[in-house]
Amino acid sequence: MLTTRTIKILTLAFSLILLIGCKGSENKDTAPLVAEDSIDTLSTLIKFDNSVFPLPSPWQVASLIKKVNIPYNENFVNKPDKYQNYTTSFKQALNLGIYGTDISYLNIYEKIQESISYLGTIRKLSEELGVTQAFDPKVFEAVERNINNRDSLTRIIARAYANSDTYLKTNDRNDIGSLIIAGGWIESMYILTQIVQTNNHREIINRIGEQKHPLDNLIELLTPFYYKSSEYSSLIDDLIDIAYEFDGVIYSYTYREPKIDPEHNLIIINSQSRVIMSEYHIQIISKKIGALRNKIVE
Amino acid sequence: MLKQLLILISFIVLAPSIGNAQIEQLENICSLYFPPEYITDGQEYFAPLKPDQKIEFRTTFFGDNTYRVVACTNIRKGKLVFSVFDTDKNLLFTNESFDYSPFWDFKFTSTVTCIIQVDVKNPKFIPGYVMLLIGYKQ
Repeated sequence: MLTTRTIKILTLAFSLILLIGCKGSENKDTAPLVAEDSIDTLSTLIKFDNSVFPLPSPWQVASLIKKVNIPYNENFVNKPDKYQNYTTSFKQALNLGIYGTDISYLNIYEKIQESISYLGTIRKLSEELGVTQAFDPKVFEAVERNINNRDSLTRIIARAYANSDTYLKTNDRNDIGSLIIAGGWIESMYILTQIVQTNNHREIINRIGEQKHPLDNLIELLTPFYYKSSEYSSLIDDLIDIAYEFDGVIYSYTYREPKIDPEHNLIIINSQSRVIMSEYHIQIISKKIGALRNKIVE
Repeated sequence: MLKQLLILISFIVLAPSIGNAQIEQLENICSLYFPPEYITDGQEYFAPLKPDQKIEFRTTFFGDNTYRVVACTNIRKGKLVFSVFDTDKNLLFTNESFDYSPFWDFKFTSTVTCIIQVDVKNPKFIPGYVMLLIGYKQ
């Protein structure tokens, strides 16, 4: 039998739980949540929602563009003042990813004034999405201090995006985190496919062709949210459509023994891959990426 | 009976914040092996450990790039093993052969899609988290 004292303690404890639960539902940004995982019941491996790496990260694409020395084109980036058009969290998240890629692109050409303007847009979108913890005043102060140091800027911005990713994952907002990643990937692909329209640079074409696996990963990342709304399903359908075109890209891989340098904690992976991409596939993928990207930024 | 109930209730109430604190702690541990010349890919990968289960991550590493992979855990005394395979399941690297080093650099001469498996070796299961950070060399 429970005593009166016991009942009082239990009532108090359960009230506390209810109170915390209600508070959490009022403001999702403050809801504490452990990282989610989804167990693959068919094997002993855990494959959790955020287990994919839809590389290249925006910063890597920027590095490649810098390496191949292609002139700056302001038409490749989304206009910073368009953020006002993005009123849903779906569009805000995708465009936060897009602006992340754009600022990396601007950064390689040392477009300082433009970068500051994009940073302001990123701050506003992050406020709208409730991820100000990742883009807090310290980040902007660090950017101001390093405004003339391109490499530091890239590092600070990449760090801020990583922080926002962690914050969203730990607060049960994987949908928003996935959209930011998707936006970053789509804009990276948009810039690469725009570049090949005027520069048939082999490295850029290869990098586009190599997106077959990362695109599959990205689709896998977004698929759990397919039925969340028609916006999600339309985005995923568009990506699947692009993935079908990637099936026409020939990708071969040959394993070769890696070489280890234990003294420097380094391994050189000698395995070789090769991409063969027809002009038709370059053009159809460019067209479909362009259409999807323009739909997102409009 | 009452004591057990209160412990259960406390666990339900406090578990999420413990999770967040553990992730923050992990970030601090992992960051020690992530020097400024490496640029993060914009994501942090973490997962709670489950008994007898490994954690698998998949990624594409692009040619002519050097990456740093950092794997860490907040489980004390546990030996964290991370192994990298290609998609044909050829083992490319395991830190088991190198005194369980928490980080390693990977220089890719060509683009390769890899599977990274993370596991903690311990005589008995202890709950905790693992985190993986990947960055490319600027």
